Amino acid sequence: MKKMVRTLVLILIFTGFWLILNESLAFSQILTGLFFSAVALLFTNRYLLEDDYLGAYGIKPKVLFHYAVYLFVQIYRSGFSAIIKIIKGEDAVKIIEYETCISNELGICLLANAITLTPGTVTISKNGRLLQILAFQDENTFTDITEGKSCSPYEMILRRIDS
Amino acid sequence: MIDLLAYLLITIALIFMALGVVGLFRFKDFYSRILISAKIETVGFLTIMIGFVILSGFSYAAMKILLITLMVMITNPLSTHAIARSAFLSGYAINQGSRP
Repeated sequence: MKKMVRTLVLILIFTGFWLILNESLAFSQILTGLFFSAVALLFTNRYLLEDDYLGAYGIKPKVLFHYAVYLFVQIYRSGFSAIIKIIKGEDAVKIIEYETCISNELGICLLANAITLTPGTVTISKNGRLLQILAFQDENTFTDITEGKSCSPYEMILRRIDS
Repeated sequence: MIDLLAYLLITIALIFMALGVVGLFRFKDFYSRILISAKIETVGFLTIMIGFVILSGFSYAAMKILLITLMVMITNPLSTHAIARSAFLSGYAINQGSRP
């Protein structure tokens, strides 16, 4: 029952995308949107993913919202600090090896995505929970594994995917 | 007034992008350049899109812009990641191109 409700919510979200792209709220468009959303979800489950779509991309809206707001703030904060670096000409970079506290695969991917979206840091590689991050020399959000372990604020948010 | 805010945001975005381009020329190392180009992509793009949404008002166009922003925010890091990763795996050293 719970799975059916979640699937229905996804179909409604995809139908919303369909209506926006077609710029119409006509009944025929709603029906077409519902049909194609259901078919897309079915094909994704059957042919594109090894896991179930809901299992692979299951994330609570509250966690997603918190993640998006925090990411938005961080993008601008890092953006301004990057401007100062450009003006001062500070171009020294380093590569950090960072072991994340997150065990969920989707959470690790979202963390890697957030790191690359934040100006001044780019994820170079991901090997299980170990991430290699390219960052400016004074970047201290992510501590190298040799300097001791601490969870970044991103991880504190994304850890709630599991709970 | 709303239009003014939108134009202000678009101007700020263009300033961000211009500073990013300055950074690309100012920095000589490949890795610092890629960090700066990622800044142009995210901060500049996000700000300019917010400006366009405000300028469009509540319309299908605004919703399409938001959808495009969402898609770019999901896919944008992939290109930066792929370029940085390929350079790293090719053995390109940090500060290789920096000035002495």
